[in-house]
Amino acid sequence: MTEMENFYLILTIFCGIFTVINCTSIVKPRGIAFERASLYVPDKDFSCFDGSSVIPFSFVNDDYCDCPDASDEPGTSACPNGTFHCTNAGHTSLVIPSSRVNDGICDCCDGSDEWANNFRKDTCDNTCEELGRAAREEAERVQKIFVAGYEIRAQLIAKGKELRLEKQNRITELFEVQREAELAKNNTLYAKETAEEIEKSVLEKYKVMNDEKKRQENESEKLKDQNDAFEMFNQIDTNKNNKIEEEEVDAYSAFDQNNDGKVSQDEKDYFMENKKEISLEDFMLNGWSRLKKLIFAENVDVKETEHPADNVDNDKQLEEGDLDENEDESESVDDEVKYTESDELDESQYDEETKLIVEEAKQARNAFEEADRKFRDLQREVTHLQESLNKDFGPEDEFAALDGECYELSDREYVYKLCLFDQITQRSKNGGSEVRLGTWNSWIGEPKYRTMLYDRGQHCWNGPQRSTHVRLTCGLEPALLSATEPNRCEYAMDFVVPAVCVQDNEMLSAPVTESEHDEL
Amino acid sequence: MNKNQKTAFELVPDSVILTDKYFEALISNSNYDDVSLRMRLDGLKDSTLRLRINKDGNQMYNRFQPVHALVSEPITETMTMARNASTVELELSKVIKVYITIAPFKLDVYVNKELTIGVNNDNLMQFEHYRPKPESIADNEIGSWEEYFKEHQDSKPRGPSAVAMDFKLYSSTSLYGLPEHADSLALKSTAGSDPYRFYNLDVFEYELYNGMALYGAVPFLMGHGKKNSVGVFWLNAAETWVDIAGVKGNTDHPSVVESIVNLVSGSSIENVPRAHFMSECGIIDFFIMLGPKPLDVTRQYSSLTGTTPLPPLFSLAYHQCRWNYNDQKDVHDVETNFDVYDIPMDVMWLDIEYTDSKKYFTWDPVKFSEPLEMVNNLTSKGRKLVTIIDPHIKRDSNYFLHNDAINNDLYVKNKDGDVYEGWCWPGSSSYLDFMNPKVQEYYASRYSIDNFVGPTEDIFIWNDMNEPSVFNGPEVTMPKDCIHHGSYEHRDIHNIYGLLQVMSTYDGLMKRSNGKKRPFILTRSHFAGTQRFAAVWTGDNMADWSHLKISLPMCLSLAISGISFCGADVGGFFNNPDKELLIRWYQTGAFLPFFRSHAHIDTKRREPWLFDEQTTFLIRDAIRTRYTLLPLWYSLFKNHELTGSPVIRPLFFEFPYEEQLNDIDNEFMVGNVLLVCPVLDQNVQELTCYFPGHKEIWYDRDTYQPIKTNGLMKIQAPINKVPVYQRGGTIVPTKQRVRRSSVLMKDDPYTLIVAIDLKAIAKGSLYIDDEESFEYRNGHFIYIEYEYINNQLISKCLHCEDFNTKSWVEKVMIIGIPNVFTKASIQVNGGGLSELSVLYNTHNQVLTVRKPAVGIAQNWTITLL
Repeated sequence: MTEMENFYLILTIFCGIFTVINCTSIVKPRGIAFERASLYVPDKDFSCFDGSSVIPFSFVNDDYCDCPDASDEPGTSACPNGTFHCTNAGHTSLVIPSSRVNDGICDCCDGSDEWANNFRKDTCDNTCEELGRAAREEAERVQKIFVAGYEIRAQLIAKGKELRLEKQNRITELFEVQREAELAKNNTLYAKETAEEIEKSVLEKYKVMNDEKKRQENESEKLKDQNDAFEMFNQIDTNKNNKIEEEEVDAYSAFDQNNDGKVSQDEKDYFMENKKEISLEDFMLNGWSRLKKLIFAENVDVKETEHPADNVDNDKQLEEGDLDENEDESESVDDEVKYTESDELDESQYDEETKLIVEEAKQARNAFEEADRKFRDLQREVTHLQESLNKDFGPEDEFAALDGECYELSDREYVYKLCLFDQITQRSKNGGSEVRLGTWNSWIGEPKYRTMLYDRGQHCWNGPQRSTHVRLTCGLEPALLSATEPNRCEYAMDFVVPAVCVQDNEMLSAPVTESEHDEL
Repeated sequence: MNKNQKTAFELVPDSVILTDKYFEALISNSNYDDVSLRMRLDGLKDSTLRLRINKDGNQMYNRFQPVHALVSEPITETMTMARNASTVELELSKVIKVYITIAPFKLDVYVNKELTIGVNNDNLMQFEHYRPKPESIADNEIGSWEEYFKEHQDSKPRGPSAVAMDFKLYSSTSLYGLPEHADSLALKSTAGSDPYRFYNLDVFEYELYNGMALYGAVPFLMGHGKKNSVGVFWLNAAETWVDIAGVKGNTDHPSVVESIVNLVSGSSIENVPRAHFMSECGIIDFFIMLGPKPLDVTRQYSSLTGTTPLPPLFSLAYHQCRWNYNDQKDVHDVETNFDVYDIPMDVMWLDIEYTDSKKYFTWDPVKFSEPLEMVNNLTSKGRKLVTIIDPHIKRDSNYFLHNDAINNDLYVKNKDGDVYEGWCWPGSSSYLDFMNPKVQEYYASRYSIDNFVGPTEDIFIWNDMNEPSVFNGPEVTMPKDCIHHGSYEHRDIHNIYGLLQVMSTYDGLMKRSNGKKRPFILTRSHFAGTQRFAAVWTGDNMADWSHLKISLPMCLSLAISGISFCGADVGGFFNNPDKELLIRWYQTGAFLPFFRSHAHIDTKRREPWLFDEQTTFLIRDAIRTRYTLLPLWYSLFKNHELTGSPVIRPLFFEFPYEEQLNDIDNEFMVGNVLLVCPVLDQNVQELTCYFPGHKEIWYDRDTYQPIKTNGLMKIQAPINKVPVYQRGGTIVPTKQRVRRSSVLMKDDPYTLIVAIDLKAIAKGSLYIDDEESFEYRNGHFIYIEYEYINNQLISKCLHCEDFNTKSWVEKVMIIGIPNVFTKASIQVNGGGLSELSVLYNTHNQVLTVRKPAVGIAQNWTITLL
C-alpha cells in the first residue's frame, strides 16, 4: 500500500467521525429514511431508541456502536444488529443489514452503502434510474399479465361454479335413478335366489351320482397302482422268495439312475433304506413310492429350475410396486372362480326338465348381474362426483375447471406429466415404465392455494415414497415450467396458471428476500 | 510371524562404529546365522533420536521407506559416546542419555536421569528377511506366501517381510495419538482385543470406540505423565498394527493377564505403558522425541514431518457442502439464501455430481454448463468454490485423462503387469500411480487454468476416495499385490497413496498461480506429513450424538499428531439430524479448526433456514461467533506454522501436571486461550465442565462471569448456550462486524478482549497479512504483541514495516477488573496523550475503552486512570 492510500484511510476514519458534525444542518444522518430524520436532532444529546443510554450527538454515526439497539449508527457498519436505509432515488428504497455498509459490494443502486469506498473511482455507479426503469417496465409487464390473468380467472371461477352446480344436479338426478336401480337389483336378486334354490334341489341327485362316480374312479386308480406295485415286485424278485434282496436290486436296471451301467451303493441305500432285504408288505407300503420317486426324479428337477425366473418377475413387480389394486376387479375374479366350481357337473346328462330349470336359473343370474352392475356403476359415479365436490378447488372454485387436466414438461432425461388434482408421473426418455411422483393430497403452506402437495408416489429404492410440491404462479396459459429434485425423491415443480392471478395474494407469495428486508 | 519361536537379536561387538553423529552396528539373529541386520542410531537436533534397522547387504527386493512423510532430511546433532563390554552409552544435548545393551539388543533412554523410554525391552523386535519361496511351506508360515480375504486372493509372491519393535514408556501414565481411529483420546489397552490398526480404508458407516482402521494413518504415539512427555514416530507406510498395554482397557479394568502378571511380579513395573508396533513390510525406522513437555514433543515431531502452512483465511471460515448441489442454479439459490438469512458463508462445495459422468476435470455440460459464471457469482461476494477430484479415473476411451494415462503408462499395474482395473463412482476405473514422478507432474498440470476448463484461481480442491477406495477390491481398496513405480508392491506403499495424491494436487495449485496463492485442499486419506498439503476431515460420520461426541477425540488425536486442520461433517454425513443435534453440532463445529457442514445424497436438505426461526437464529449465531474469532484462529495457525503447536489441544497440553486431565476428551483448548466444553448430549440443560489449573480464572465468553474453581463444575447450558471460556491472562483479538464472507471483513476494525489473571496481567498477540498469498514469506505481514500490566495495555508492533492495513482498534474490553477507573488515555508512537472515555459495567465487571481509533499496526499504550 502506498502513502497515498494511507492518507485515504485516515480520511475515511475522519469522515466517519466528522461528516455528521460538519453537515448535520445540511443533510439527514446517513442511512436514515427521510421520514425518520426528525428523530436525530443535532443540537441535542442523543437518546438510544431503547432508552438504554444518552450520548453526545457527535457519537451518532461516528463508526462506534454505543446503543445496544444500534440506533446511534444508522449509517455505518459499527453495530452488529443495525440496518442501513438507502433512498435509491429513481428506484425503490431498500433496507440492508449494517454489515453490508462499506464492505466493497454495491448493495444500494445509489451506491450510498459504499460511502467510504466511493473515494475510489467507480466503486459503485448510481444505477437507480436504469434499474428503476427496468423494474417499472417489469412491474408493468407483470401487471398486464395479472390484469389479463384476472379476467381468465373470473372465467375459471364461473366455469367452476357451473361445474359444481352441474355435479350437484347430476348427483340429485342420480340419486333418483339409483333408487330405481337398487329396486331392480333387489327384485332380480330375489328372482335369482328363487331360481337357484330350485336349480340346487334338482341338481342334487346329479351331484350324488357324480360323487359316486368319482369315488369309484379313485378306487380303481388305487387298485391299478397296487397291481403295478405287485407286478414290479415280482419283476425284481427274480428268485421269487417274496423278498427283494440286494443282489436283485443290483440286477434291476431301473435303479441305475445315473446310467453308469451299474446300480450304485447310494442308489441302493436310498431304495433299501440301508436294509438287507425288503418284504412284499414293506414294498407295498413304502418301497413302491420310493421307487416311483427314483424313476420320476428327473421331472422334479425340471420344475425346480423354473422357479428362479418366476422370482425375478415377482421382484421386478415389487420394485415397480404399489400398483393400484382395483377393488371391483378383484371381486369379479372371485365370482368367476365360484361359477367354474358349480359348472363341474356334466350338463349333457340332465333330463329336459332339469335343463329348463338350469337355463332359467342362468337367466335369473344374468338378469341380476346386469341390474347389479347398473347399480354399482351409478354408485361409482355418485361417489366420484361427491369426491370431486369435496376436493378443494380453491375458495372460489377457480381450479375446478382444471381438474384432471394434464400438462407435460420435457427435459434432457425425462418427460414429466402433471395431471391436476390427480397425479404426477415421470417417464424416462430412454424407455422404462412410468414412475408416479405423487398422487394429489392437498394444498399446503402459506399463502394458501399457492402450493400443491402430491405424495404417496412410488417408493424409492431404499428410500421413502416419492412426493412433489407444485408451486403455482400467475400466467395466462397453464404450463409446467420446471421440475427438479432438491432432495432425493422429493420433487419440486413450477406451474403457471391464470387461476392464481390475484395481486394481493401474489404480494404475499413474493420471494422471501423482500419480506426479510422489511423485518430488518 | 511366529511368536513362539523367540528371536534373540544381538549387536555384533566388532562391528560397532561410533562417530560424534551416529552409532552403527550389525545385529545378528540367533535363528538365521547367515542373515545380519545393520542398525544405525542418529542423534537429531531438539532432543530427538532416530533408529533405523535394515538388512545388511543385498536383498531380493527393495524395502520401501516413506520419506515423503518427512519435510526434509532430519538435522543431526553431535553425541558423545562411550562403550564398555556390555553396553554403549550415548549422550545427547547433555540431558539425554541412551544406554544400548549388546545382548540381547535393547535401548534405555533417560531424560534428566529419569528413565523415559525403553526400546526392545520386551524383546519383541522382529525383522523377516526376504527369502526364496520354500518347496513346502512350514505350518508357522501358512499365510505368509498366499492369503485369502473373502473372495480375494493376496498372492504374496515376495513372502514374509514383517518388521516389529516394542517400546516401554516408563515415565508416562497415559498414551495418545495413533490416529486415525474412532476412539477415545487416551489410548486403551488392546489386551483381549485387536491392536490399533493402520490400513487406510473407505469404511462404510464406521463404528465407534475401537481400533479398527479408518481413512488415515499417522503412526505417531505420545506418552505423557507428570514427569515428562515423549513421542514415538514409526515411519512405515505398510499395514501396521499397534498393541497397547499398561494402560486402562475398554472395560476400565486391568485385563486378567495383567492382574496375574502384577500379582506374580509383585511390582507395578508391568503397568508401564507400552506399545508394540508391527508392520507387514518396510524397514524398522523410528524416531523418539524426548520432550520434555507436550508442546516440545509436538514441536520435535513437526520439525520432522512439517507443519501446516498458513491456510488462506477463507478456509478457516464456514464451508457449505452437500452431496450434491444439483446444478448451478441450486448453488446460486443456496448462496443467495445465506444472504437472505444474513448468515456468513465463505465456501460452496461441489461433490462428484458436478462432473461429466464422474470424469474429473470436466463439468456436466447441462447442469454445470457455465462454471465460470457460477464461480463469478460466488467471488462477487468474496466467496470461493471447492470441487471434488478423486484419484480413480474412468476407463472411457473418450476421456482425455484415461487416454493420456494409457498412452503414457501412468496407471498402477496388477500383479501380472497389466493395468489394474477396479470399480468406483464412474464404474470401471483405473488408478494413477502417484509413486511415479511422471504422474505427479502430469496430475499437477491438470489443475492449471488451461487444462481444467472453466475455473479460476478461486476454485479449490477436495481429494476424496484416496485410500484408495476400490468398491470391488479387498476391504474396498486396492489388492496388496498390485505393482507401483519402482517395483514396489501396493502393500509397501498403501498408507501413503493419499499423501502422494495431495502432494501432486498441492503442486498443481501452486503452479496454477505461479506460486503466489496459498492452495487449499481437503483430503480424506492421510499419513504423517499430510498436514503440509491438506486439511483432513473425519470422513463419513453419522447424524448421531455419539458421532458429534467422537469428533473431539478424533480431531484432538490428529492435532497432537501434526494434523491440526481437522473437522467433522457438521450435522453428520449419513441420516438426518433433528434440529437440536444440528444446532449443537454447529455450536461445537464452530470451535474445531475445519468448519464444514456436509450431507449424504439420500438425506433431506438441512441448510440452516429449513427448520424454524430459532434454529436459523442459533445456527447463525454459532457461525457468526466463528467469524468474530477468525483473527484468533488465523494467529493460532500462524503460530502452528512456526512452532508446530497444535491449534486445538487436549487440556493436559496446557496443564501437564494435572493428572485428572489425562482422560478428558469432551473438552478442549483452542490454542492456550479458549476452553471449550461443548454440549454433546441430547436434551441437555445443564452439564459438568472440568476447569483446569490451580491459579486460573476462566471467563464465560457470553456473560464474562469469572470461574475460579479448579475441577468439576455444573454449568447451565440451554439450547442457546455454548460453554466457552477465555483463560484469565490472555488477550483475544476479535472482529465484531461479521459480514457475508471473511474477505469482506479484511479492513474491519478489531475489538481486543483482555481477560486478566489473578495478578491482573494479560498477554496476547495478533498476526495480520493479505490472507491469501505467500507474500508473508517475504516479510509482508504484521505481528503485534499485547500486554496488559499495571493498568496499562501496551501494543507492540514487532513486525510492521512491510504490510499495510486499514484495520484499526475500535474497542478494548478489559474483563475482571474493579470499578476504580473513570477514564483512559492513549499515547500513540510515543506522541502526546489523548483522552478516551471508558464505560464500566458493574454486572459483569467489564471495562470498555471507547474507540481508541488507532491503526492496528501502531505502537500505543492505553493507560487506565
